[in-house]
Amino acid sequence: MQALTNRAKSVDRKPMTFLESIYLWNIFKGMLITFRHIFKKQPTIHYPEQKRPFSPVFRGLHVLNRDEEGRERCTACGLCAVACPAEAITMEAAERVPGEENLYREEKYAARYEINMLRCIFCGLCEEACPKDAIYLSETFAPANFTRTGFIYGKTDLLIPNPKTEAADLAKAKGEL
Amino acid sequence: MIEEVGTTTEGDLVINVGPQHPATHGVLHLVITLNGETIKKVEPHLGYIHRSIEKMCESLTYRQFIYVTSRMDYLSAHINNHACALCVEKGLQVEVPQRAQYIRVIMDELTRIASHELWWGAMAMDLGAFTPFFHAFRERETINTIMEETCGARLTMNYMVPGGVMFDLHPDFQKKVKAFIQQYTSKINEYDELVTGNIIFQNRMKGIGYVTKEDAISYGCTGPVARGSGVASDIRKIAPYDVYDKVEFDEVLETGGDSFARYLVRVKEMQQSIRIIEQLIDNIPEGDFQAKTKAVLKLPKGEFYQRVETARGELGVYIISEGGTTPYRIKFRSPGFSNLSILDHMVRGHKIGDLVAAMGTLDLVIPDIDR
Amino acid sequence: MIECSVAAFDFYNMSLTNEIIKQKLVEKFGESVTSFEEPYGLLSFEAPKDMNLKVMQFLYDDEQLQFRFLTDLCAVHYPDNKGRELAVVYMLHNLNNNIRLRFKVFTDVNQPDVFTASRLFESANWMERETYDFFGVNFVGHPNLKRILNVDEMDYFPLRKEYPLEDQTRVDKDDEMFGRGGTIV
Repeated sequence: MQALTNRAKSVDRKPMTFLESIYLWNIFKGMLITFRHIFKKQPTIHYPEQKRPFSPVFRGLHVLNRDEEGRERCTACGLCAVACPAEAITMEAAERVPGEENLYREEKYAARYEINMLRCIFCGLCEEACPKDAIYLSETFAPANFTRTGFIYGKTDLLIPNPKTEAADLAKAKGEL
Repeated sequence: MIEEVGTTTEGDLVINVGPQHPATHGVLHLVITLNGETIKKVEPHLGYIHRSIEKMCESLTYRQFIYVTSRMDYLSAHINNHACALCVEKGLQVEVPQRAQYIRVIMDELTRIASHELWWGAMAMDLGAFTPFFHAFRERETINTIMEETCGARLTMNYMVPGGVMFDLHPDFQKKVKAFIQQYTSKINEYDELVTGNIIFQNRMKGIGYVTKEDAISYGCTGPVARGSGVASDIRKIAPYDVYDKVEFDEVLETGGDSFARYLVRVKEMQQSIRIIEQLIDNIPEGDFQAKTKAVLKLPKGEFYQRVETARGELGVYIISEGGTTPYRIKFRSPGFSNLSILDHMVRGHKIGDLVAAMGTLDLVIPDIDR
Repeated sequence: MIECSVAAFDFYNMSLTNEIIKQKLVEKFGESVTSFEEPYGLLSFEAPKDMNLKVMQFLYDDEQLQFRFLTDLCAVHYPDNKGRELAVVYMLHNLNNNIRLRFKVFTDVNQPDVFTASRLFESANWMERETYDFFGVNFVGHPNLKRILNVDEMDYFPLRKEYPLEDQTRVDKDDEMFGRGGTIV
């Protein structure tokens, strides 16, 4: 076999010296390094007393947005469901009837909007696909649950609080309170 | 699948290691034939987390399938995505903006460091030292935080899109990466003192799992496994992609061929990655971070092949397109699959206690092997 | 033995070119090797299926070619391509001159017998098992041709095109466990 390169180095294989053959010395050296760290700054975070903040671009749990007047932005166009690589999103569209103008921004809305958080891979393609800025990935993650059905998030779980009627809840959800 | 476990007619002992075993780093199942304490044969049984990603990708569009590949080699998810993005770009013939190329390479190298850090900690833990794991995770945590602030996720970054990266860097990025480099370089000595220079550690690694250069090539080993045996197979050098041909770095090569040589390759490779980042971080050009691409991507009819160097070795993405929006066939040549195939060859004749010392240096990530 | 140095790894400075490989192959095998292409600089060609070992042996042994690194082996299923439904693709690499090539052999899906390359390359052992597992290509002479990633009891080859991504007959995959959307209103 010819040498493929001339840059390769060989590993040092000297026999052990006397000091090295006494393993205790090496154990002591290692222990010393570990011991020194007692006096150094702690790199750990004491969860759950302390929580590390998520970055603004973090792709966590989805939210469905409302506009300033508290109307749902989603028009059930289905682009997010098409873009989803994991097929996690299901929706059913419905026509807005007169009198619901304060609930839905446009003539069509999502009567049913479900995201299966067990299927979701949190890639953010739904957010990118949405033409109405209706779906966003928030800075939190899906909490644990006892049943699989608990991971299917419906509209009640996803919609943000109405800024008109539930302003306090919204501020709380945003972490302002 | 389940072998006859017990004693064979020749008096050999057949035992199972795994599928749930801490040293196999996932669900790898080894059926080991032992003569006393000496290993006669190791038969890896794979597929415990086989998800048929290749079949799944056949029904996903070119935008979507990139994100599924993060789930193959989750430790170098960004590099997997990079390979797929490059392969799709090859077919689309999109010119990726310089800025995006710089960002990609910096993130690749950060991923490589994070992956090697985890391996380093886990390797030491396999051999019985628990503390290095925490040391490694301290540095890895910094990288993960940088990743989260830039890409929006800590492990499966999904930062690649065909034609560039998903969004621009945040303003603090350079500062944070520089702080990381400083943090890392200040700890290298401690690493060496704690593990590399430790004679107990060295004695357990040296002369274990010997792989000759011929074997490494014949078994299709790539990455640090091949480089530990002196096979120069770094894709970043032999077929540079993005801006790797503009940066200066050394391909780390050792001729030892044993576990310690592979260990040294990875430890030194982290420093080379730091070197690459140092060269790029101050020179990220201004401009677009994404090339203009169509909303629905269609690759022309043909075959596209792209290989990149992940933290484990050569990842090849082979897309066969029939002209539609989804690939007709996609094949991932995963580095771990070939690297694992040498395991039987390299541990035969060793004692069972050395199995982990040899297997750990293969840096196995089971989802990468099983796909 | 060819003297090899760092310069040999220079991607733009290689002595062995696709033309030379093509010329050598045509010299040796004549009309048998066909459809030479160079998509994105990667030489690719086709060989008859009973000559795959001869071609590989030639590429392996030749003083100048030295393709001794089998990096990838996979199969592709073309159901409309009658008589040559399955393509087995070999990806070979020359580490000295850093050049790579790809060649294919086509086989009938009803009798998918292809000679094994596992005597030549150890890496072919597992890769052929994987290819057998997914496409059912029967590698004649393989020392241990059994499934590697799927369960042993499986009786079909899942990556063939006639099998859809999801098995519609499965009843255990209900919506609550696997489904899109779910049951709540």
